Amino acid sequence: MFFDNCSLTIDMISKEDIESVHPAAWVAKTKGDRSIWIIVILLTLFSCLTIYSSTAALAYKKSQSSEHYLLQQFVFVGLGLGIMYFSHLIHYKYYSIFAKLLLFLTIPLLLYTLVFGSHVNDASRWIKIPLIGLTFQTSDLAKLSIIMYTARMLSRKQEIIKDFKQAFVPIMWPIVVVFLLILPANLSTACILLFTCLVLLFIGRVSIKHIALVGIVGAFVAGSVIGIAYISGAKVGRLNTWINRLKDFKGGEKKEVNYQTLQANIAIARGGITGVGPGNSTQRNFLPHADSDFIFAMIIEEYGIITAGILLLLYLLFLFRCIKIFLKCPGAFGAFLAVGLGFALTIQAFMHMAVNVHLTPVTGVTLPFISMGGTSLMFTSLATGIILSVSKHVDEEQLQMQEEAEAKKAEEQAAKEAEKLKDLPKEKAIA
Amino acid sequence: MNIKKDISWRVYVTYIGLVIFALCIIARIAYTQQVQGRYWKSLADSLTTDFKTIEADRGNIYSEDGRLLATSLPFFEIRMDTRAEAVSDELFNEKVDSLAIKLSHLLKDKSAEEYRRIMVSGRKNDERYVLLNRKVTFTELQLIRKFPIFNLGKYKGGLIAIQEFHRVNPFNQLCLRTIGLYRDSNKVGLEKTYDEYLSGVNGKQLMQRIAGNTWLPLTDENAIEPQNGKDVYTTIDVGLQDVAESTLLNTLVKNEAEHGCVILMEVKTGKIKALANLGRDENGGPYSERMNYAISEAIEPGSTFKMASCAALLESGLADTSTMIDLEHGHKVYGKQIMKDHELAVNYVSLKTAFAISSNVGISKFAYNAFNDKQEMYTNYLKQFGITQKTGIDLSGEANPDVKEATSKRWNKVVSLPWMSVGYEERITPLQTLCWYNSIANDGKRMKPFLVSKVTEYGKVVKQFNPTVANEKVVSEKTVKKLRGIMEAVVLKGTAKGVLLNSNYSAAGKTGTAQIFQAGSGFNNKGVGSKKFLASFVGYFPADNPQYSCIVVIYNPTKDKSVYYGSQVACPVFKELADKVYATSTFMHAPIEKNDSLLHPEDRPGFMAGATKEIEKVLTELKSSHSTMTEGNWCSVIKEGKNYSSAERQIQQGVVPDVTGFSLKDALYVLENKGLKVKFKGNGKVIEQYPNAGEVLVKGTEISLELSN
Repeated sequence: MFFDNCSLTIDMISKEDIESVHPAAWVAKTKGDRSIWIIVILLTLFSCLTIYSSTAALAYKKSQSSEHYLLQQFVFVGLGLGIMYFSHLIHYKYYSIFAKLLLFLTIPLLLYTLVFGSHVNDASRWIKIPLIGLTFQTSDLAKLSIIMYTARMLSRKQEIIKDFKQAFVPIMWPIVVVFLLILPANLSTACILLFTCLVLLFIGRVSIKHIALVGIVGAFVAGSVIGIAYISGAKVGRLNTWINRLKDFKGGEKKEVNYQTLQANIAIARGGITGVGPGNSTQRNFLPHADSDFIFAMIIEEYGIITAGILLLLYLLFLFRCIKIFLKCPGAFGAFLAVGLGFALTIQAFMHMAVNVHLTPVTGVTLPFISMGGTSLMFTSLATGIILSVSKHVDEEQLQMQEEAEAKKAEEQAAKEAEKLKDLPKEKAIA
Repeated sequence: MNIKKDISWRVYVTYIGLVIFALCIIARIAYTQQVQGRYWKSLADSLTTDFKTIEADRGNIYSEDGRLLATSLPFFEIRMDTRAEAVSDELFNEKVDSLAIKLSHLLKDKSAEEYRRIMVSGRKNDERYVLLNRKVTFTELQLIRKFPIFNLGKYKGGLIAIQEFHRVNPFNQLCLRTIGLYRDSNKVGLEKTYDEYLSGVNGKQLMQRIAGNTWLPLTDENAIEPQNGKDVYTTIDVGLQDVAESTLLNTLVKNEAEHGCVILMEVKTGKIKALANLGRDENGGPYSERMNYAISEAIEPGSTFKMASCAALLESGLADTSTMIDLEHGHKVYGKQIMKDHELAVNYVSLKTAFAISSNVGISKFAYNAFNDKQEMYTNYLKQFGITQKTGIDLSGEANPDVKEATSKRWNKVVSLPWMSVGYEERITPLQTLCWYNSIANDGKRMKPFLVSKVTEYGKVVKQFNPTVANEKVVSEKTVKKLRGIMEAVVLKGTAKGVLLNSNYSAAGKTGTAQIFQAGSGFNNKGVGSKKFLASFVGYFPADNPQYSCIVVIYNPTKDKSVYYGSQVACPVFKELADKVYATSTFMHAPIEKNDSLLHPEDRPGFMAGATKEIEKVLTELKSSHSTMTEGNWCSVIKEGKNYSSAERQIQQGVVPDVTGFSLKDALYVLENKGLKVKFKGNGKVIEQYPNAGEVLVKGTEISLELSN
């Protein structure tokens, strides 16, 4: 019964929702889960603080004013909140179609990136958008599109979900394609994405046997790629880097820990309970990418373990609110969308933290909402906007349903009373 | 189970999984902080900050006319990080050969193979700090940065350059011992004496290392600003120093002497204008500024000391310049010791003559006769003259004079007086001798010699060193006059006769030829060959109005066994230096006399051609009558009787100009502006040119000029 009203009628969306409205109406228009709004705004404001501090050395070296990157981040945060606002106005129903289109756009873009993308440290991850001149990481786009598409597929195949041919294969092939396309340039992102998708499949009631199969095959593929590279001693492209990182994590023969881990550990140790205070980080000068891939370590240094714990709680709360939306959502697509995107963002955040605290091998994962990096923030904002869209429209529909139910009840009551009234004269008449 | 419930538990399980993961993260942070915290923090402290010394710039040393004698220049020590980020095996193996060849070719200190070996073995051993060269100039470094491998980037290519300041003497050997050496361990010369001004104070700054080995100043409060060293201006005149040094060098080479020195001093002030020291090692290598003999070598001065004995005689009134003495044919016995003279032409002479011909017997007999019964009086006079004290020059390393007193235990009542009176049994430095002579030239006023006139900071004088009088009167005016008379006699008819005569100015002084006491054998060597002599001359000029005093000391000339006299070896150096000083010191020149040809317009030479304005200026200055000058920039001058007139020299486009009659300076200006390459021979004015004036001008071609007076 839960998934019966899977297909919603479009007339439920009022025209004003799509129209742009003048500012005074914004607040009234801004709906959706209040907690998520608050958490996101808190995190993005916090990001301005940490980025101002973490880019000090970068600004010094590039002889720019120390506010340069702060202002840049302000602009990105503003843009991100704008994207969130507008994307949450759109009914999530549309994202089902959007998901399909986006995936068909993503796959050629990933191919293009692999072949022509700009090379940063041998990894072709970035492409330039013509005309605007912005570069962005295609895997960010791929992440969003594959999760939305999986949510769509899961919701459509619920009835036959345990069937291998009819449900598992059509759900799985886009995931595998995207995974394999990201893999050469960005092994870790591909693995995190695959893991997130598998979590989503698990939640979506896909047979655990099938999931295990994918897990094993995936691990085998990634393992053999590394293994071949290791045995053949090839020093081609990224393979070398992966091997070194794994070696470093294991604890290589010569160095105790690699440079980044060493600096991150120093940052964490320096932080202590309450941190050295905003702007007092010294490790930001040593940590490579203190403003993105290693921002969590710097946050611990400046704000201490307590703030780190609060940060973790905020992400968990964020995910919890997503689950709330999921539970409330009458439609399967909306439910999977909210929980899928929620898990994706949280898993990414936790992976970032795990790398920073040396729980997992070093890899470049940004901390959603906090790390510097324009396009990644845009995609994060879009994802949040979509979650909020689900929340907003579910609330509205519920309200409507409640009103309807009340109206029905009132009608029934009225009818009952009318009947009573009808009956009454009879009795009187009898009497 | 309904679908919603089925999904719900899956969501909760996953959520709990993430909560556990979050707890792991927190636990990991706590572990890093609480368990390993101390280790990481200690690592951080040792890595990140450090007090960096900001070295103060050392001050420069200048000559009197502001030319740089010593300065600090940045040099770079270059090292290689053989395991730099961008240097892969293939790249290293491919490029290391060409890098080695280029380094060897540029720096020329090691062969290419040597460089290659250093780098290859460094890489094999994973060395990240391989020394390539200790002293590379900035320009060389710029080139090295572009060499293969190193051109990969500042840090990626593995080139490490450490800047260091090295002391450089732009004039190389010139005056080097006086300027001194700046080393950490043992400074010498002015570098040592004036170190407190030159060195400045190093600053300190708490610096933090940021990625890429860049050091970033941490806070403003911790900075101790370095105070740069001040500049020191010496009294040295580079031109005179150069003459002194080159003449001395020629003399040393010519006579194959061991070493020698020259000091030139300004009589009235005590300023040292030139101070040259040259010597070579026992194996006879090239001469160089090895030691400051002039101030640090106290030796038996020989005959130049006789002036002190004469001064004592005259001052005491116990003898006069005209007092006669019997030279006893140059053979006189004191106790068991024999005093000798060489080749005496006369036997009965005055004190003046005895001094002029530098008779040992004569001077020692005078001293003996006058002071034998009161020997202390003699040594008291020496004390009064200032000979027994250091001069107090502002240069470290001055030796103490060893002039014993009559009361000392070392004094021999029989032989000390006669031998001391002729320059033995005491040791004094050339500078101390010069100072004594200078006080005679300066009318009895003893000046303290000095080398540094001022100390400046950013061009402002912060300390001025003025001439210092050491003693207003070391001898009476009467004695000064007589002493100057007998010194002039040395040049006019004595030992320096003929050597120092110059038509423009006169000099006065004293020669000295001392036998050097050798440890072990003393003076009494068998055969002249093994004897060592000290040839010297000390004096002043011009004799009638002394401006400069000068001493030349040549130690052990060995080339010709018969050439060792002061007059033969030392006098020529004195003369050459004095000539140079005279030529450049116009104030010493006699004024032009009334009947000089230049004062008679009709006798003046005619200009031939040149720049109109300059010619006009000269004519006006000399008050020569001339008609109105031509308008053009260049002109020819015609002289008719007293009157000068000018005709314009036109410089036309596309035609070789006429430069005949021009000075070389003017000709070069005109011709090179026309794009011609000038070749010339001779000196004076242009008398011929080819191609000739009026021919078609082709830019870049050569024009040859012949010049003549």
